[in-house]
Amino acid sequence: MTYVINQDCVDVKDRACVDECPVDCIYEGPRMLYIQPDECVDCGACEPVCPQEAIFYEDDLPEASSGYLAINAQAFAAVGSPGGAGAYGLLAEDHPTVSALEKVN
Amino acid sequence: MSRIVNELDRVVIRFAGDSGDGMQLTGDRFTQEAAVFGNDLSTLPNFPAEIRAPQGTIPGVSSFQLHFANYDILTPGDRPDVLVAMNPAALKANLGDLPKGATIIVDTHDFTKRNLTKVGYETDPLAGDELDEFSVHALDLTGMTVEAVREFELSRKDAARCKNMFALGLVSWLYGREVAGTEDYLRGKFAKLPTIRDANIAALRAGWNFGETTETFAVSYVVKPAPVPAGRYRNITGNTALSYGIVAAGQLSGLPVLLGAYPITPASDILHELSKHKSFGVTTFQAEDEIAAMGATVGAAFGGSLAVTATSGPGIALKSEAIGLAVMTELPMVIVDVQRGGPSTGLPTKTEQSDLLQVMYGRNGEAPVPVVAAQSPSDCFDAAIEAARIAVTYRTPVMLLSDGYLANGSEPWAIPDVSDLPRIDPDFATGPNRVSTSSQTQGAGETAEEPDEFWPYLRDPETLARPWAIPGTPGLEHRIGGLEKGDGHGNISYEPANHDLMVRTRQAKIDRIARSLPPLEVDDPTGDADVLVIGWGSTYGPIGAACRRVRDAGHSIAQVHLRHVNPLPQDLGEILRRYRRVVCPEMNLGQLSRLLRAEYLVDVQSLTSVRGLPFGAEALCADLLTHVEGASA
Repeated sequence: MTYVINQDCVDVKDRACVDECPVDCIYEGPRMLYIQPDECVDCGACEPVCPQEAIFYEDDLPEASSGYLAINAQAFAAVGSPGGAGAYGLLAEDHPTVSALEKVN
Repeated sequence: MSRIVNELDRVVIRFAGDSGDGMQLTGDRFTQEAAVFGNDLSTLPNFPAEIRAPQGTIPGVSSFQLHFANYDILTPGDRPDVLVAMNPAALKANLGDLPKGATIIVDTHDFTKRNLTKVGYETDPLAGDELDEFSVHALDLTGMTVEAVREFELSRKDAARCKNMFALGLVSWLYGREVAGTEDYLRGKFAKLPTIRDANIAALRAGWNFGETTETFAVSYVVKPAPVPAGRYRNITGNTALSYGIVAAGQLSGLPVLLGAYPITPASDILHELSKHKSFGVTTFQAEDEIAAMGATVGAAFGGSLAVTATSGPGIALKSEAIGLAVMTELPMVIVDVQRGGPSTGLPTKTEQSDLLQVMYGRNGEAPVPVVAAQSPSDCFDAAIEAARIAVTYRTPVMLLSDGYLANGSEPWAIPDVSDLPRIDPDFATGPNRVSTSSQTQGAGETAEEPDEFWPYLRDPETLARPWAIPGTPGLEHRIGGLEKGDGHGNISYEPANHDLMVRTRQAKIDRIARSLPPLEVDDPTGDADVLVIGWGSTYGPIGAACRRVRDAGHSIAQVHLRHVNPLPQDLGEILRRYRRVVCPEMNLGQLSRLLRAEYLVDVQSLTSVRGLPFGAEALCADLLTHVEGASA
């Protein structure tokens, strides 16, 4: 089980959640942030601080963003579990679905 | 622009927010400012037991209520005139307590769809007509705070955290209070974090200036200082006052103090406070558990210290075996029970008076223990000294009852003159107290023999107290333990008649304490009341305030309050029988009324509330009026 970031983060990347995460499992991609599902400890600290309300417990994901459980997981297909976003740095690329989204501003 | 300034006699303010929003600190700072200004005040902190309750939820709401006035007040107030709500949960949790027309200052920053849903609001209450009967000021306090502290380049989290100071600044302006004291406080608290310090001060000033410049608030208010007898006053909480009382008792008796304790809400502050007073001969020992803490307390008493332990109901349950040992060994000590909601873990941060029968009877065997109860935060000081007096004079463990409301609530305290406080004489045994049988035989015929042996259970004929001898004193060697003592010599005895005598003597010793108690003061201003209200402990304030309301409504009512619940004062029976009806409000299911009925065969009527909060004066007044009318009918 994990928390999941949805499309409301795209091109916003407020990063308030990154400060809250006690296990440093929220990684930054070029256009949005992703939660590493194997590293997430389900504490829920990130959820209330997101000004975009873009973070959900996986069971609570709204219908419109149900694909983001897989998107968060697949974003780590290439890198696996780096064990800490601070040390790892930026993810090289976004998930293809996210990259394909039209830029709003 | 000229402003309207209204003068008020009294105001009740409640600061409410998420745990972590700093509401306790905000309330405490406003309290300190009101205390320095000279208002009489009474406070009620109310917070969840969790270290970090789930964010933004109703159970996670932490609040601090402050009642301040230009006359002497007795309670923290029933209904807030002003509610400062930092999130939707704080608004929802507290709305029901507000009277019509109350002022609500609300931080709109967290009124997002998700936060509203989380607490069960389907639509934004600020947008609908739900709050029409209140005067609502919906402000983006967080947003304004973040703007005000932008220059300090804090993380957004740290910046938003300053919002409690912004709110404090705003409310301070609304009631014409200076913020200089709080600025000094912040300078001290954040001395090592200059940016945090400066940001908090900036937020505080920004809040004050916002009030001054905005036109949102058409009216501001003043509450003048309360007239009080001249003297030095300070603001004090019950736990601090109780700790000072113990320090004072150590000084008054000339004994070193040992506190053996294990941390437990709401008693831990006593351990924290006493650990600061090594310079007054206070040693604190944080034991590995409640049982070890009690064992250390018994040991310290045997060793000649003023032994103290501080705990709450669950701790008393664990300590009861060793308290029995203290009864059997007849050693002086003070056992503080800061009561909280029970049973079991119960409501750790809420108040209740439900440990009375536990401290009276919760031990095996006939194990009588005197019970002293404090009635207000500042009274915890005097109650602690009284408990120590009884303990040392009568060589017995004494239960000192406080509760969560007294422990965390605060009020002004007139700092006493040390020379007015009673001395406590430990009256240690200094030499043998008995002429031994062998020397009596040898010296037959001679008179006025010198005592040549020490009997640890040879009692003072007046108090029935046994001698207290420091172990290791030559000539006073003695043994004590949990097995039944032989009368006088104190050696183990299984004699039927001796056990009967000792059980009755231990009880008689506790009963004798009543002789040393002053007469009860009955507050019956008209002298023609039919109804007497009797209480003990922290209900003193609410009962007093409710009685004032009953009298203001044109009725007569009498009030008496017990400091000593065991033994009961000698004149109590006569007082109870003098009235047509006796009513006893308690925060339990009628424990004192049960004791009074059993003791005096008086039909004491019980009024009970176990909501984890003190009685409200308004509701209590309504209940008392029913009894006043019932008694006169």
